[in-house]
Amino acid sequence: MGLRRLRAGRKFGKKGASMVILLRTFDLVLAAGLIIIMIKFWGNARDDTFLEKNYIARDVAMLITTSYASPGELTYCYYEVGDLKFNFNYLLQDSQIFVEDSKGKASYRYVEDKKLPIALLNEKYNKEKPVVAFEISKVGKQVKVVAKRKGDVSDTCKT
Amino acid sequence: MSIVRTLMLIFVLLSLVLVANVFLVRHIDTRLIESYSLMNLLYYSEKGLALEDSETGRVYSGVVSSGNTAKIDANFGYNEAKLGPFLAAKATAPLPGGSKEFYYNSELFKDWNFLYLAGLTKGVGGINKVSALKKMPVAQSGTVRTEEVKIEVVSRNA
Repeated sequence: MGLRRLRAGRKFGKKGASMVILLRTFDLVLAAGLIIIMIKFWGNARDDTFLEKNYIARDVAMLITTSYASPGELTYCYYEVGDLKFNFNYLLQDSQIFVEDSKGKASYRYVEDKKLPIALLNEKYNKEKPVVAFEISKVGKQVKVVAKRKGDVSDTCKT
Repeated sequence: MSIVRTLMLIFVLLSLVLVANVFLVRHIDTRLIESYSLMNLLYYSEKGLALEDSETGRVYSGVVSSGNTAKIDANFGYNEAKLGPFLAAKATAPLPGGSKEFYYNSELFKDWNFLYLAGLTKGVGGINKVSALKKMPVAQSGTVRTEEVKIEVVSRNA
């Protein structure tokens, strides 16, 4: 390394040595900038919630479709699984379920029976009383999706 | 030489970002589950292959009769979803006098089945197909026999 610097100095004189220092500094700044970008990218990837929103939307949509398809009445509780928490806003509208937070939203379609209307759902995230389960029921002439919050009393879902 | 070194440095650091990106899971493919779900719906649900007694109004799920055809599309609203149909199915039941075919989204099934047979199964617009054989009661002219009913469900990659 020292030899190269000596050679640069010999060929270009003082100008060559400062050129080497300049290039080194530029390398360091570039590397630092790229490392900062990488850290920011990995941080965003870790904090991103799109996968969780997409997962919940598809799961609930398929449960609604299955409840429509069932020949009789049914009530089903969909609980939080492992690290998957239900800390989002929920909306059932236009044959789609929307799962949303400040970072964006995910949606998925469910299948509706024209003869059996579904009660619309509009739940917001509440830190003190978060949603811990969904109760999907097909009773009589209606299909319902009810968000059960921590502490709510229910015959079927344990909160 | 310095330029080459700098370019290598940029390349290595950007590669780390790209490699990390490959392992990030952003998409969930639920076509297979939904295909089997539709298949079971056709087998077991009163909205699927079910026999409707016009005199009593009773519906016997899991019984195939020649009058099933119009019921499946009319009762079940996969087509109602604004994003358009994403599944199509065909049920083939042997009846006296020859097999009868029941469709859910018949035009789509024929188009997508053709693409599946042509080998277009991967990528956007690729077709996935599942099929199963099941013994079911088949009713015609007042008699009920057990026959093997084949159901095929096709779905398309979004």
